[in-house]
Amino acid sequence: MIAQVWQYVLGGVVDGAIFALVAAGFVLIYQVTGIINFAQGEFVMVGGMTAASLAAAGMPPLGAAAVAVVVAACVGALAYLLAIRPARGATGVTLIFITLGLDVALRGLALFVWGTNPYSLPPFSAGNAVKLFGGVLPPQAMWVLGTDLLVFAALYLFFQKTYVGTAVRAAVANPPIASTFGIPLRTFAFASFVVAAAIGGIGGVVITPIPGVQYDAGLTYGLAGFVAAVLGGLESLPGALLGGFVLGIVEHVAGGLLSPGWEQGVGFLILVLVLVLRPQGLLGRAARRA
Amino acid sequence: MTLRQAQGDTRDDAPMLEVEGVSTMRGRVQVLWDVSLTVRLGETVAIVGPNGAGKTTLVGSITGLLPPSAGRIRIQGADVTGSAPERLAARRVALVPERRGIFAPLTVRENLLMGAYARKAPRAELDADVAGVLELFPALQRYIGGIAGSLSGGEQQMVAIGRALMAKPDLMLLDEPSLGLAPKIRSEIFGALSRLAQRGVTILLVEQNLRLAAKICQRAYLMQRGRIVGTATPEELAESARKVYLESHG
Repeated sequence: MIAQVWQYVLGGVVDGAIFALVAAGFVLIYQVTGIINFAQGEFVMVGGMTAASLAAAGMPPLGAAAVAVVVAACVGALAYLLAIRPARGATGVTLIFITLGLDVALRGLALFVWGTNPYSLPPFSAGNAVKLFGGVLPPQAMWVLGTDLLVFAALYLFFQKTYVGTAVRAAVANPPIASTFGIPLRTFAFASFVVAAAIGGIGGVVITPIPGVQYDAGLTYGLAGFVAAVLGGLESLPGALLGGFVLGIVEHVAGGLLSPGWEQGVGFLILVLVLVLRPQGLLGRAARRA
Repeated sequence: MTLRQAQGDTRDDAPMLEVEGVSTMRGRVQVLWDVSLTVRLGETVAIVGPNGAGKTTLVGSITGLLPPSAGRIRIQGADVTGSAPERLAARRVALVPERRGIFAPLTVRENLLMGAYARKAPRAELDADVAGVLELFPALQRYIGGIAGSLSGGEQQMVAIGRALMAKPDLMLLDEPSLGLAPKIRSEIFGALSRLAQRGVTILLVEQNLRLAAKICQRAYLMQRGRIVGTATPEELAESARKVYLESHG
């Protein structure tokens, strides 16, 4: 029984790593723009579908992966320029509906481009399953976890150790005053969409070799990423990481012990509990920005 | 207080800031009505008036945070009416906002560095400028790596002024820098402002405390209900402050 639960935990860690990447996208955009981007999961789908279809067309997997991340970033850029920027000044509710519309539009576009067939991508490296305290992980899981580590380390270094990263934190802390010192809020808003989309794309590329991908995969990733972001605290990148792993593990264990149908149900139960008991999330601040 | 229409002469006649017939709305409410004023290069000019007179709105209009609905604003002769705050920062206009507006989660050092964002200066130059601010406000030295939001009000005000100085401003706008501060901290801060004025930094000071304003300004505009209603010399401001004090203390 314990071995079985441990195996569910390991499976949850892999899913959680992707949820954490999607949650990081939610947090990035929310921190910089105040917008909850419900289309975030679609960037995972775009990354996965692009890499898988290019690989299927004969492109080497790593090349396909690189192109896929660039495509996801471009989709993020276009999403900002065509849907978000023209609506600047709109209310929060309006912007939420715009991102929901964006989500549906991207899924529809994916259906048009790739159809309903599932796509797969070969693992990035060959080899046997990795054994860990009696449980096993597919070799691709190491790529997923390594990517998580790299992405979050890069985000940490950018925000804490660079001048521009500090300026982004200043813009988050007090946007109008930051602008009076020449900190470019609109450029940062644009960049947040591009980077969040690229991170989503990276997540899509590294996870696709395990479960595969199809045009509507973004919805699942988006909802899980949103729950993970709220769980961790919508303004906290470490919270996104923690929220992703907690959600992935809880969903997998619940799905394994009860039935797979319970996975998402448990995820939403967690969302409700967090919103009722600790609305600022596990690592979020109690109050909105200063 | 005696009201005057004309100004005294100043060190330099070149106008640093010209506000001409500015009217500004906050939502549907008109807050500023046909406001005009001039600040010349190297001058320290105060805007005094009661709460709700529109002083902060005027500062917002000058810095681009609240674009005016009518009128013109020029900085060193260039029309900047309605320009975004980022563009004004490039013209070396720095703001010390009402209630300080520091970047609370950032360290004191990071706050100071952000003041220089528009300058794109090399790191060594920025480090030297931070040292200059610490010379002006030695009290900040011990908190330089601490989170700015955890400082006292007076220390935060020093951070806010230091941050504005990091912009190497041609024009510095200070909005109620004495607000909520203990008398000792106030005099420390106004002492520093006085030294800045002596160095030739052009300052537009919004202040309710007439006695403090009189200490550092060369002349003052009086605002009431969104309009400039007159001007005063520092002596007139000080005399008015004395009368207010005597009236309130029987």
